[in-house]
Amino acid sequence: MDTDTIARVARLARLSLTAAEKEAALRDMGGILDAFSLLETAETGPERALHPLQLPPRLREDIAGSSLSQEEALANARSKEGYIKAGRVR
Amino acid sequence: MPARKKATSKQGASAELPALQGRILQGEITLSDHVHEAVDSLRELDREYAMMTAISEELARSQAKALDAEKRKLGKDILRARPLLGLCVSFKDAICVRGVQSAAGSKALKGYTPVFDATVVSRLREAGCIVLGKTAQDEFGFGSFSVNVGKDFRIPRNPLDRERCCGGSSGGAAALAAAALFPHVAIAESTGGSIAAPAAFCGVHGLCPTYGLVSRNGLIDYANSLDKIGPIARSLDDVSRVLDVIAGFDAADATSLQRTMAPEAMPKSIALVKQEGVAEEVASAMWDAVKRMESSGVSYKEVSLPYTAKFALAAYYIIATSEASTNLARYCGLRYGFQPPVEGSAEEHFTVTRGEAFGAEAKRRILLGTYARMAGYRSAYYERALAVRSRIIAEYQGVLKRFGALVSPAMPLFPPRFDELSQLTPLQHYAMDHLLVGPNLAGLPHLSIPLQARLPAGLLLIGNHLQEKTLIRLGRMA
Repeated sequence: MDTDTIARVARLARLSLTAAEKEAALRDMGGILDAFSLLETAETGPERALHPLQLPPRLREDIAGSSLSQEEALANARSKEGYIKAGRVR
Repeated sequence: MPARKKATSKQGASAELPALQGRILQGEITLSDHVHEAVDSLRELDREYAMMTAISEELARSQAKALDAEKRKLGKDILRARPLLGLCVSFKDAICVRGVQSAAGSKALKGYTPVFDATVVSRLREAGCIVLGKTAQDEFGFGSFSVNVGKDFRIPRNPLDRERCCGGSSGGAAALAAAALFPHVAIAESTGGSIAAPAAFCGVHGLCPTYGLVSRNGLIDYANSLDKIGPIARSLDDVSRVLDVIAGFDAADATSLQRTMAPEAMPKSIALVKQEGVAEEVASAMWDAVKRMESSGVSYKEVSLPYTAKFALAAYYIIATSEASTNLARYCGLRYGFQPPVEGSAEEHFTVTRGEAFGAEAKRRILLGTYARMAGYRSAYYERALAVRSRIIAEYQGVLKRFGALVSPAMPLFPPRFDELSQLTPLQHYAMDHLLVGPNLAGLPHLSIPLQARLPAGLLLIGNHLQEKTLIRLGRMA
Protein backbone atom coordinates (compact mmCIF):
# COMPACT_ATOMS: atom_id res chain seq x y z
CA MET A 1 0.00 0.00 0.00
CA ASP A 2 1.35 3.42 -0.92
CA THR A 3 0.11 6.99 -1.26
CA ASP A 4 -0.46 6.65 -5.02
CA THR A 5 -2.68 3.60 -4.52
CA ILE A 6 -4.66 5.35 -1.79
CA ALA A 7 -5.16 8.34 -4.09
CA ARG A 8 -6.25 6.06 -6.96
CA VAL A 9 -8.74 4.16 -4.80
CA ALA A 10 -10.15 7.41 -3.37
CA ARG A 11 -10.54 8.81 -6.88
CA LEU A 12 -12.40 5.68 -8.02
CA ALA A 13 -14.65 5.90 -4.94
CA ARG A 14 -15.31 9.64 -5.50
CA LEU A 15 -14.08 10.38 -2.00
CA SER A 16 -12.13 13.46 -0.97
CA LEU A 17 -9.68 12.82 1.88
CA THR A 18 -7.89 15.29 4.12
CA ALA A 19 -4.13 14.95 4.62
CA ALA A 20 -4.75 13.30 8.02
CA GLU A 21 -7.24 10.87 6.48
CA LYS A 22 -4.76 9.91 3.76
CA GLU A 23 -2.14 9.22 6.39
CA ALA A 24 -4.57 7.13 8.46
CA ALA A 25 -5.70 5.21 5.36
CA LEU A 26 -2.10 4.41 4.46
CA ARG A 27 -1.40 3.15 7.97
CA ASP A 28 -4.64 1.20 8.56
CA MET A 29 -5.30 -0.29 5.14
CA GLY A 30 -1.86 -1.78 4.86
CA GLY A 31 -2.27 -3.61 8.16
CA ILE A 32 -5.82 -4.75 7.41
CA LEU A 33 -5.00 -6.03 3.93
CA ASP A 34 -1.90 -7.79 5.23
CA ALA A 35 -4.07 -9.59 7.77
CA PHE A 36 -6.71 -10.46 5.19
CA SER A 37 -4.13 -11.80 2.73
CA LEU A 38 -4.51 -14.92 4.87
CA LEU A 39 -7.24 -15.81 2.37
CA GLU A 40 -4.51 -16.69 -0.15
CA THR A 41 -3.72 -19.77 1.93
CA ALA A 42 -7.32 -21.05 2.06
CA GLU A 43 -8.20 -24.18 0.16
CA THR A 44 -11.27 -23.54 -1.95
CA GLY A 45 -13.39 -25.22 -4.58
CA PRO A 46 -15.02 -23.84 -7.72
CA GLU A 47 -18.15 -22.53 -5.94
CA ARG A 48 -18.58 -18.81 -5.30
CA ALA A 49 -21.29 -18.07 -2.70
CA LEU A 50 -22.76 -14.75 -3.82
CA HIS A 51 -25.55 -15.41 -1.32
CA PRO A 52 -25.71 -17.66 1.75
CA LEU A 53 -28.59 -19.68 0.30
CA GLN A 54 -29.28 -20.90 -3.20
CA LEU A 55 -31.79 -18.35 -4.41
CA PRO A 56 -33.52 -19.09 -7.71
CA PRO A 57 -33.59 -16.07 -10.01
CA ARG A 58 -36.97 -14.46 -9.63
CA LEU A 59 -38.35 -12.05 -12.19
CA ARG A 60 -41.71 -10.38 -11.91
CA GLU A 61 -44.14 -10.45 -14.76
CA ASP A 62 -43.49 -7.75 -17.35
CA ILE A 63 -46.53 -5.72 -16.40
CA ALA A 64 -46.40 -2.06 -15.42
CA GLY A 65 -47.02 -1.61 -11.70
CA SER A 66 -47.39 1.38 -9.42
CA SER A 67 -44.35 3.46 -8.55
CA LEU A 68 -43.52 6.71 -6.80
CA SER A 69 -45.04 9.84 -8.31
CA GLN A 70 -42.63 12.50 -9.58
CA GLU A 71 -43.53 14.64 -6.57
CA GLU A 72 -42.71 11.78 -4.16
CA ALA A 73 -39.48 10.92 -5.97
CA LEU A 74 -38.31 14.52 -5.70
CA ALA A 75 -39.58 15.07 -2.15
CA ASN A 76 -36.09 14.86 -0.64
CA ALA A 77 -34.19 16.65 -3.41
CA ARG A 78 -33.59 20.31 -4.12
CA SER A 79 -35.76 20.54 -7.22
CA LYS A 80 -37.21 23.03 -9.62
CA GLU A 81 -40.09 22.50 -12.04
CA GLY A 82 -39.93 18.74 -11.70
CA TYR A 83 -36.16 18.43 -12.08
CA ILE A 84 -33.35 17.90 -9.56
CA LYS A 85 -31.46 21.16 -9.13
CA ALA A 86 -27.69 20.63 -9.14
CA GLY A 87 -24.90 23.08 -8.38
CA ARG A 88 -23.47 25.38 -11.04
CA VAL A 89 -21.16 23.51 -13.43
CA ARG A 90 -17.92 25.36 -14.13
CA MET B 1 -32.66 7.55 36.65
CA PRO B 2 -35.60 5.94 34.89
CA ALA B 3 -33.99 2.85 33.36
CA ARG B 4 -34.31 -0.64 34.72
CA LYS B 5 -31.15 -1.34 36.69
CA LYS B 6 -31.64 -5.08 36.30
CA ALA B 7 -33.24 -7.03 33.51
CA THR B 8 -36.87 -7.91 34.16
CA SER B 9 -37.45 -11.56 35.01
CA LYS B 10 -38.29 -13.72 32.00
CA GLN B 11 -41.82 -14.33 33.26
CA GLY B 12 -42.34 -10.64 34.07
CA ALA B 13 -41.22 -9.38 30.67
CA SER B 14 -43.29 -12.00 28.82
CA ALA B 15 -46.42 -10.92 30.64
CA GLU B 16 -46.04 -7.19 29.97
CA LEU B 17 -47.82 -7.08 26.61
CA PRO B 18 -50.77 -9.35 27.58
CA ALA B 19 -51.20 -7.28 30.77
CA LEU B 20 -51.26 -4.03 28.81
CA GLN B 21 -53.73 -5.46 26.29
CA GLY B 22 -55.94 -6.64 29.16
CA ARG B 23 -56.04 -3.13 30.61
CA ILE B 24 -56.85 -1.65 27.21
CA LEU B 25 -59.66 -4.13 26.57
CA GLN B 26 -61.08 -3.57 30.08
CA GLY B 27 -61.13 0.17 29.42
CA GLU B 28 -58.68 0.94 32.24
CA ILE B 29 -56.37 2.78 29.85
CA THR B 30 -56.66 4.10 26.30
CA LEU B 31 -53.94 3.66 23.71
CA SER B 32 -53.58 7.43 23.63
CA ASP B 33 -52.86 7.45 27.38
CA HIS B 34 -50.42 4.59 26.94
CA VAL B 35 -48.55 6.38 24.15
CA HIS B 36 -48.47 9.64 26.09
CA GLU B 37 -46.75 7.87 29.01
CA ALA B 38 -44.41 5.89 26.75
CA VAL B 39 -43.23 8.96 24.84
CA ASP B 40 -42.59 10.91 28.05
CA SER B 41 -40.62 7.99 29.43
CA LEU B 42 -38.72 7.57 26.16
CA ARG B 43 -37.66 11.23 26.13
CA GLU B 44 -36.25 10.86 29.64
CA LEU B 45 -34.38 7.68 28.70
CA ASP B 46 -33.01 9.28 25.57
CA ARG B 47 -31.64 12.24 27.52
CA GLU B 48 -29.76 9.79 29.73
CA TYR B 49 -28.60 7.21 27.17
CA ALA B 50 -28.80 8.84 23.71
CA MET B 51 -30.36 5.75 22.16
CA MET B 52 -32.65 7.53 19.68
CA THR B 53 -31.97 9.36 16.43
CA ALA B 54 -35.62 10.40 16.09
CA ILE B 55 -38.73 10.16 18.28
CA SER B 56 -41.89 9.93 16.16
CA GLU B 57 -44.32 11.38 18.69
CA GLU B 58 -46.78 12.72 16.12
CA LEU B 59 -46.96 9.40 14.28
CA ALA B 60 -47.34 7.44 17.54
CA ARG B 61 -50.15 9.71 18.73
CA SER B 62 -52.04 9.45 15.43
CA GLN B 63 -51.69 5.66 15.45
CA ALA B 64 -52.99 5.51 19.04
CA LYS B 65 -55.95 7.71 18.19
CA ALA B 66 -56.89 5.51 15.22
CA LEU B 67 -56.54 2.33 17.29
CA ASP B 68 -58.65 3.81 20.09
CA ALA B 69 -61.41 4.48 17.55
CA GLU B 70 -61.11 0.95 16.20
CA LYS B 71 -61.27 -0.51 19.71
CA ARG B 72 -64.45 1.42 20.43
CA LYS B 73 -65.95 -0.10 17.28
CA LEU B 74 -64.69 -3.69 17.59
CA GLY B 75 -64.34 -4.13 21.33
CA LYS B 76 -62.37 -7.22 22.29
CA ASP B 77 -62.42 -8.47 18.69
CA ILE B 78 -59.75 -5.92 17.88
CA LEU B 79 -57.09 -8.42 19.04
CA ARG B 80 -58.00 -10.75 16.17
CA ALA B 81 -57.08 -8.06 13.68
CA ARG B 82 -54.30 -6.46 15.76
CA PRO B 83 -52.54 -9.22 17.73
CA LEU B 84 -49.74 -6.89 18.86
CA LEU B 85 -52.13 -4.13 19.92
CA GLY B 86 -50.31 -1.47 21.91
CA LEU B 87 -46.80 -2.92 21.59
CA CYS B 88 -44.35 -0.06 21.16
CA VAL B 89 -41.72 -0.67 18.51
CA SER B 90 -38.61 1.21 17.48
CA PHE B 91 -36.64 0.79 14.27
CA LYS B 92 -32.93 0.94 13.69
CA ASP B 93 -32.21 4.19 11.87
CA ALA B 94 -31.42 2.25 8.66
CA ILE B 95 -35.03 1.05 8.34
CA CYS B 96 -37.28 3.44 6.44
CA VAL B 97 -40.32 4.84 8.24
CA ARG B 98 -42.55 7.10 6.18
CA GLY B 99 -42.29 10.73 7.25
CA VAL B 100 -39.66 10.06 9.95
CA GLN B 101 -35.98 10.87 9.36
CA SER B 102 -34.24 7.63 8.38
CA ALA B 103 -30.55 8.33 8.06
CA ALA B 104 -28.76 5.04 8.88
CA GLY B 105 -26.84 7.09 11.43
CA SER B 106 -25.08 9.06 8.69
CA LYS B 107 -24.72 12.73 7.86
CA ALA B 108 -25.04 11.61 4.22
CA LEU B 109 -28.74 10.99 4.87
CA LYS B 110 -29.41 13.65 7.49
CA GLY B 111 -32.83 15.11 6.80
CA TYR B 112 -33.96 12.24 4.56
CA THR B 113 -37.60 11.42 5.28
CA PRO B 114 -38.81 8.39 3.31
CA VAL B 115 -42.05 8.57 1.35
CA PHE B 116 -42.80 4.90 2.12
CA ASP B 117 -42.65 2.40 4.98
CA ALA B 118 -40.28 -0.58 4.91
CA THR B 119 -42.19 -3.85 4.73
CA VAL B 120 -41.38 -4.68 8.38
CA VAL B 121 -42.78 -1.32 9.43
CA SER B 122 -46.04 -1.75 7.54
CA ARG B 123 -46.47 -5.32 8.84
CA LEU B 124 -45.99 -4.27 12.45
CA ARG B 125 -48.26 -1.25 12.07
CA GLU B 126 -50.91 -3.52 10.60
CA ALA B 127 -50.56 -5.80 13.65
CA GLY B 128 -51.33 -2.90 16.01
CA CYS B 129 -47.82 -1.77 17.00
CA ILE B 130 -47.04 1.84 17.84
CA VAL B 131 -43.97 3.34 16.12
CA LEU B 132 -41.95 5.29 18.69
CA GLY B 133 -38.98 6.27 16.56
CA LYS B 134 -35.55 5.43 15.22
CA THR B 135 -32.62 4.05 17.19
CA ALA B 136 -28.95 4.97 17.15
CA GLN B 137 -26.40 2.89 15.27
CA ASP B 138 -22.92 2.87 13.83
CA GLU B 139 -22.97 4.80 10.56
CA PHE B 140 -24.52 2.46 7.95
CA GLY B 141 -23.87 -0.40 10.41
CA PHE B 142 -20.08 -0.03 10.24
CA GLY B 143 -19.09 -1.11 13.73
CA SER B 144 -19.38 -3.51 16.63
CA PHE B 145 -19.76 -1.03 19.49
CA SER B 146 -21.95 1.85 18.23
CA VAL B 147 -19.07 4.28 18.61
CA ASN B 148 -18.68 4.79 14.84
CA VAL B 149 -21.76 6.98 14.63
CA GLY B 150 -21.96 9.48 11.79
CA LYS B 151 -20.92 13.11 12.04
CA ASP B 152 -23.34 15.08 14.28
CA PHE B 153 -24.86 11.89 15.77
CA ARG B 154 -24.66 10.89 19.46
CA ILE B 155 -23.03 7.70 20.79
CA PRO B 156 -25.59 5.60 22.72
CA ARG B 157 -24.71 4.54 26.26
CA ASN B 158 -25.32 1.22 27.92
CA PRO B 159 -28.30 1.47 30.34
CA LEU B 160 -26.61 -0.97 32.69
CA ASP B 161 -23.45 1.15 32.90
CA ARG B 162 -23.21 4.51 31.14
CA GLU B 163 -19.44 4.27 30.84
CA ARG B 164 -19.70 1.13 28.73
CA CYS B 165 -20.71 0.73 25.10
CA CYS B 166 -23.99 -0.84 23.95
CA GLY B 167 -22.41 -3.06 21.34
CA GLY B 168 -23.18 -2.53 17.70
CA SER B 169 -24.14 -1.77 15.26
CA SER B 170 -27.73 -1.84 16.54
CA GLY B 171 -26.67 -0.30 19.87
CA GLY B 172 -29.57 2.09 20.35
CA ALA B 173 -32.03 -0.73 19.67
CA ALA B 174 -30.58 -2.99 22.37
CA ALA B 175 -30.23 -0.09 24.82
CA LEU B 176 -33.89 0.80 24.45
CA ALA B 177 -34.96 -2.84 24.68
CA ALA B 178 -33.08 -3.08 27.98
CA ALA B 179 -34.23 0.24 29.42
CA ALA B 180 -37.83 0.73 28.27
CA LEU B 181 -40.35 0.90 31.08
CA PHE B 182 -43.20 -0.10 28.75
CA PRO B 183 -43.81 -3.14 26.49
CA HIS B 184 -41.39 -2.62 23.63
CA VAL B 185 -39.55 -4.53 20.92
CA ALA B 186 -36.68 -3.01 18.95
CA ILE B 187 -36.38 -3.90 15.29
CA ALA B 188 -32.70 -4.13 14.48
CA GLU B 189 -30.52 -5.31 11.61
CA SER B 190 -27.47 -7.56 11.38
CA THR B 191 -24.84 -7.77 8.66
CA GLY B 192 -22.03 -9.43 10.61
CA GLY B 193 -23.43 -9.69 14.14
CA SER B 194 -25.22 -6.40 14.75
CA ILE B 195 -28.22 -7.97 16.50
CA ALA B 196 -26.51 -10.55 18.72
CA ALA B 197 -23.61 -8.31 19.80
CA PRO B 198 -25.66 -5.42 21.22
CA ALA B 199 -28.25 -7.83 22.66
CA ALA B 200 -25.43 -9.58 24.55
CA PHE B 201 -23.91 -6.31 25.79
CA CYS B 202 -27.25 -4.91 26.97
CA GLY B 203 -28.51 -8.14 28.60
CA VAL B 204 -31.51 -8.73 26.31
CA HIS B 205 -32.59 -11.28 23.68
CA GLY B 206 -31.69 -10.73 20.03
CA LEU B 207 -32.70 -12.93 17.12
CA CYS B 208 -31.06 -12.65 13.72
CA PRO B 209 -33.25 -14.69 11.38
CA THR B 210 -32.34 -16.79 8.35
CA TYR B 211 -31.18 -14.68 5.41
CA GLY B 212 -34.25 -13.84 3.34
CA LEU B 213 -36.86 -14.79 5.96
CA VAL B 214 -37.66 -11.15 6.80
CA SER B 215 -38.06 -8.70 3.95
CA ARG B 216 -35.25 -6.19 3.41
CA ASN B 217 -37.51 -3.92 1.39
CA GLY B 218 -37.03 -0.44 2.84
CA LEU B 219 -33.74 -1.21 4.56
CA ILE B 220 -30.89 1.17 3.78
CA ASP B 221 -28.40 -1.51 2.77
CA TYR B 222 -24.96 -2.12 4.17
CA ALA B 223 -24.22 -5.39 2.29
CA ASN B 224 -27.08 -6.99 0.35
CA SER B 225 -25.95 -10.59 0.62
CA LEU B 226 -25.56 -10.34 4.39
CA ASP B 227 -28.22 -7.95 5.76
CA LYS B 228 -31.04 -9.40 7.92
CA ILE B 229 -33.70 -7.63 9.97
CA GLY B 230 -34.70 -9.09 13.36
CA PRO B 231 -36.09 -8.29 16.82
CA ILE B 232 -34.37 -7.42 20.11
CA ALA B 233 -36.56 -7.73 23.21
CA ARG B 234 -36.56 -8.40 26.94
CA SER B 235 -38.44 -11.70 26.56
CA LEU B 236 -38.35 -14.61 24.14
CA ASP B 237 -42.14 -14.44 23.94
CA ASP B 238 -41.87 -10.92 22.52
CA VAL B 239 -39.15 -12.05 20.10
CA SER B 240 -41.42 -14.86 18.92
CA ARG B 241 -44.55 -12.69 18.67
CA VAL B 242 -42.83 -10.12 16.53
CA LEU B 243 -41.01 -12.67 14.37
CA ASP B 244 -44.35 -14.28 13.51
CA VAL B 245 -45.55 -10.95 12.13
CA ILE B 246 -42.46 -9.82 10.21
CA ALA B 247 -41.37 -13.18 8.71
CA GLY B 248 -42.67 -14.21 5.32
CA PHE B 249 -42.35 -13.74 1.60
CA ASP B 250 -42.37 -10.24 0.15
CA ALA B 251 -42.44 -9.72 -3.60
CA ALA B 252 -40.76 -6.34 -3.12
CA ASP B 253 -37.51 -8.03 -1.99
CA ALA B 254 -35.77 -10.03 -4.72
CA THR B 255 -34.00 -12.17 -2.11
CA SER B 256 -37.11 -12.90 -0.01
CA LEU B 257 -37.52 -16.63 0.69
CA GLN B 258 -40.65 -18.36 -0.53
CA ARG B 259 -40.39 -20.81 2.37
CA THR B 260 -41.72 -20.67 5.92
CA MET B 261 -40.08 -21.34 9.29
CA ALA B 262 -39.75 -24.97 10.34
CA PRO B 263 -41.94 -26.06 13.26
CA GLU B 264 -40.42 -26.02 16.73
CA ALA B 265 -38.41 -29.15 17.53
CA MET B 266 -36.57 -30.41 20.58
CA PRO B 267 -32.93 -31.13 19.70
CA LYS B 268 -31.42 -34.10 21.47
CA SER B 269 -27.90 -32.76 21.19
CA ILE B 270 -26.07 -29.51 20.57
CA ALA B 271 -22.51 -28.74 19.55
CA LEU B 272 -20.40 -26.51 21.75
CA VAL B 273 -18.00 -24.69 19.44
CA LYS B 274 -14.47 -24.48 20.80
CA GLN B 275 -13.40 -20.84 20.71
CA GLU B 276 -10.22 -19.04 21.61
CA GLY B 277 -9.91 -15.65 23.21
CA VAL B 278 -13.04 -15.79 25.38
CA ALA B 279 -12.87 -14.08 28.81
CA GLU B 280 -12.93 -16.55 31.67
CA GLU B 281 -16.08 -15.15 33.31
CA VAL B 282 -17.97 -15.21 30.01
CA ALA B 283 -16.89 -18.81 29.33
CA SER B 284 -17.91 -19.82 32.84
CA ALA B 285 -21.38 -18.28 32.48
CA MET B 286 -21.77 -20.03 29.13
CA TRP B 287 -20.93 -23.39 30.72
CA ASP B 288 -23.57 -22.79 33.39
CA ALA B 289 -26.16 -22.27 30.64
CA VAL B 290 -25.02 -25.38 28.78
CA LYS B 291 -25.39 -27.39 31.99
CA ARG B 292 -28.92 -26.05 32.42
CA MET B 293 -29.78 -27.23 28.92
CA GLU B 294 -28.18 -30.58 29.69
CA SER B 295 -30.36 -30.93 32.79
CA SER B 296 -33.36 -30.39 30.50
CA GLY B 297 -32.34 -33.39 28.40
CA VAL B 298 -30.10 -31.82 25.74
CA SER B 299 -26.70 -33.48 25.53
CA TYR B 300 -23.69 -31.61 24.20
CA LYS B 301 -20.39 -32.33 22.54
CA GLU B 302 -17.48 -30.01 21.87
CA VAL B 303 -16.66 -29.47 18.20
CA SER B 304 -14.24 -27.37 16.16
CA LEU B 305 -14.89 -25.34 13.02
CA PRO B 306 -11.25 -24.88 12.01
CA TYR B 307 -11.84 -23.43 8.53
CA THR B 308 -14.41 -20.92 9.78
CA ALA B 309 -12.25 -19.97 12.77
CA LYS B 310 -9.30 -19.24 10.50
CA PHE B 311 -10.87 -17.53 7.50
CA ALA B 312 -14.36 -16.20 8.35
CA LEU B 313 -13.27 -12.80 9.65
CA ALA B 314 -11.22 -11.96 6.56
CA ALA B 315 -13.86 -13.31 4.16
CA TYR B 316 -16.59 -11.38 5.94
CA TYR B 317 -14.81 -8.03 5.85
CA ILE B 318 -13.82 -8.39 2.21
CA ILE B 319 -17.37 -9.29 1.10
CA ALA B 320 -19.08 -6.77 3.37
CA THR B 321 -16.87 -3.83 2.43
CA SER B 322 -17.01 -4.74 -1.27
CA GLU B 323 -20.80 -4.68 -1.21
CA ALA B 324 -20.86 -1.56 0.97
CA SER B 325 -18.61 0.35 -1.39
CA THR B 326 -21.08 -0.19 -4.23
CA ASN B 327 -24.15 0.49 -2.07
CA LEU B 328 -22.76 3.77 -0.80
CA ALA B 329 -22.00 4.97 -4.34
CA ARG B 330 -25.58 6.28 -4.49
CA TYR B 331 -24.95 8.97 -1.88
CA CYS B 332 -23.85 11.83 -4.09
CA GLY B 333 -25.76 14.73 -2.55
CA LEU B 334 -28.31 15.25 -5.29
CA ARG B 335 -31.45 13.22 -4.64
CA TYR B 336 -31.75 13.07 -0.85
CA GLY B 337 -29.96 13.66 2.42
CA PHE B 338 -26.93 15.95 2.74
CA GLN B 339 -26.89 18.31 -0.24
CA PRO B 340 -24.23 21.00 0.21
CA PRO B 341 -24.05 23.82 -2.37
CA VAL B 342 -21.01 22.64 -4.35
CA GLU B 343 -19.97 24.19 -7.64
CA GLY B 344 -17.75 22.54 -10.23
CA SER B 345 -17.94 19.41 -12.34
CA ALA B 346 -20.27 16.57 -11.43
CA GLU B 347 -17.24 14.56 -10.31
CA GLU B 348 -16.06 17.38 -8.05
CA HIS B 349 -19.56 17.72 -6.63
CA PHE B 350 -19.78 14.01 -5.76
CA THR B 351 -16.24 13.80 -4.39
CA VAL B 352 -16.48 16.84 -2.13
CA THR B 353 -19.98 15.99 -0.91
CA ARG B 354 -19.05 12.41 -0.02
CA GLY B 355 -15.84 13.56 1.66
CA GLU B 356 -17.84 15.89 3.90
CA ALA B 357 -20.69 13.46 4.54
CA PHE B 358 -18.99 10.22 5.56
CA GLY B 359 -17.26 9.53 8.87
CA ALA B 360 -13.84 7.93 9.30
CA GLU B 361 -14.99 4.30 9.43
CA ALA B 362 -17.34 4.70 6.47
CA LYS B 363 -14.46 6.09 4.42
CA ARG B 364 -12.19 3.26 5.54
CA ARG B 365 -14.73 0.63 4.46
CA ILE B 366 -15.44 2.33 1.14
CA LEU B 367 -11.71 2.41 0.40
CA LEU B 368 -11.24 -1.24 1.44
CA GLY B 369 -14.19 -2.42 -0.60
CA THR B 370 -13.21 -0.41 -3.65
CA TYR B 371 -9.67 -1.79 -3.45
CA ALA B 372 -10.92 -5.39 -3.07
CA ARG B 373 -12.97 -5.05 -6.28
CA MET B 374 -10.37 -3.20 -8.37
CA ALA B 375 -8.95 -4.74 -11.51
CA GLY B 376 -5.84 -6.63 -10.50
CA TYR B 377 -6.99 -7.29 -6.94
CA ARG B 378 -10.54 -8.59 -7.45
CA SER B 379 -9.63 -12.26 -7.83
CA ALA B 380 -7.21 -12.17 -4.88
CA TYR B 381 -9.70 -10.60 -2.50
CA TYR B 382 -13.38 -10.42 -3.47
CA GLU B 383 -13.69 -13.58 -5.58
CA ARG B 384 -11.50 -15.53 -3.20
CA ALA B 385 -13.66 -14.43 -0.25
CA LEU B 386 -16.76 -15.73 -2.05
CA ALA B 387 -15.06 -19.09 -2.57
CA VAL B 388 -14.07 -19.19 1.09
CA ARG B 389 -17.65 -18.38 2.04
CA SER B 390 -18.81 -21.48 0.13
CA ARG B 391 -16.51 -23.64 2.22
CA ILE B 392 -17.61 -21.97 5.44
CA ILE B 393 -21.27 -22.69 4.62
CA ALA B 394 -20.35 -26.32 3.93
CA GLU B 395 -18.50 -26.58 7.24
CA TYR B 396 -21.53 -25.34 9.18
CA GLN B 397 -23.85 -27.66 7.27
CA GLY B 398 -21.63 -30.61 8.09
CA VAL B 399 -21.93 -29.97 11.83
CA LEU B 400 -25.64 -29.10 11.67
CA LYS B 401 -26.35 -32.51 10.10
CA ARG B 402 -25.25 -34.07 13.38
CA PHE B 403 -26.48 -31.53 15.94
CA GLY B 404 -29.65 -29.54 16.50
CA ALA B 405 -27.77 -26.30 17.13
CA LEU B 406 -24.35 -24.81 17.78
CA VAL B 407 -23.50 -22.95 20.96
CA SER B 408 -20.83 -20.39 21.84
CA PRO B 409 -20.62 -17.03 23.60
CA ALA B 410 -22.04 -14.20 21.48
CA MET B 411 -19.17 -11.84 22.32
CA PRO B 412 -15.85 -12.88 23.84
CA LEU B 413 -15.93 -10.27 26.61
CA PHE B 414 -18.14 -8.01 28.70
CA PRO B 415 -19.13 -4.67 27.17
CA PRO B 416 -15.93 -2.60 27.00
CA ARG B 417 -15.69 0.86 28.52
CA PHE B 418 -15.40 3.75 26.08
CA ASP B 419 -11.85 4.50 27.26
CA GLU B 420 -10.86 0.89 26.50
CA LEU B 421 -12.34 1.04 23.01
CA SER B 422 -10.45 4.18 22.14
CA GLN B 423 -7.18 2.23 22.52
CA LEU B 424 -8.04 -0.34 19.83
CA THR B 425 -6.86 -0.20 16.22
CA PRO B 426 -9.44 -0.69 13.41
CA LEU B 427 -8.21 -4.26 12.93
CA GLN B 428 -8.64 -5.00 16.65
CA HIS B 429 -12.18 -3.63 16.42
CA TYR B 430 -12.91 -5.97 13.51
CA ALA B 431 -11.47 -8.95 15.39
CA MET B 432 -14.10 -8.57 18.13
CA ASP B 433 -16.66 -9.95 15.65
CA HIS B 434 -14.92 -13.31 15.30
CA LEU B 435 -17.67 -15.34 17.01
CA LEU B 436 -20.47 -13.80 14.94
CA VAL B 437 -19.29 -13.38 11.37
CA GLY B 438 -19.47 -17.13 10.63
CA PRO B 439 -23.24 -17.59 11.03
CA ASN B 440 -23.80 -14.28 9.25
CA LEU B 441 -21.74 -15.37 6.23
CA ALA B 442 -23.74 -18.61 6.14
CA GLY B 443 -27.11 -16.86 6.58
CA LEU B 444 -27.87 -19.03 9.60
CA PRO B 445 -30.39 -17.90 12.23
CA HIS B 446 -28.81 -17.11 15.57
CA LEU B 447 -30.15 -16.03 18.92
CA SER B 448 -28.35 -14.29 21.78
CA ILE B 449 -29.69 -15.13 25.25
CA PRO B 450 -28.62 -13.14 28.34
CA LEU B 451 -26.14 -15.04 30.50
CA GLN B 452 -26.12 -14.84 34.27
CA ALA B 453 -22.87 -13.04 34.97
CA ARG B 454 -21.38 -10.01 36.73
CA LEU B 455 -21.87 -7.87 33.63
CA PRO B 456 -24.02 -8.42 30.51
CA ALA B 457 -22.97 -11.25 28.20
CA GLY B 458 -24.80 -13.46 25.75
CA LEU B 459 -25.09 -17.13 24.89
CA LEU B 460 -25.20 -17.62 21.12
CA LEU B 461 -27.42 -20.36 19.70
CA ILE B 462 -26.97 -21.02 15.98
CA GLY B 463 -29.44 -23.17 14.04
CA ASN B 464 -29.86 -24.40 10.51
CA HIS B 465 -31.80 -22.30 8.02
CA LEU B 466 -35.41 -21.63 9.10
CA GLN B 467 -34.94 -23.23 12.55
CA GLU B 468 -35.77 -20.04 14.47
CA LYS B 469 -38.53 -21.69 16.53
CA THR B 470 -36.19 -24.43 17.72
CA LEU B 471 -33.60 -21.82 18.76
CA ILE B 472 -36.26 -20.01 20.79
CA ARG B 473 -37.21 -23.27 22.49
CA LEU B 474 -33.57 -23.98 23.33
CA GLY B 475 -33.20 -20.44 24.56
CA ARG B 476 -35.95 -20.99 27.12
CA MET B 477 -33.87 -23.81 28.62
CA ALA B 478 -30.72 -21.74 28.93
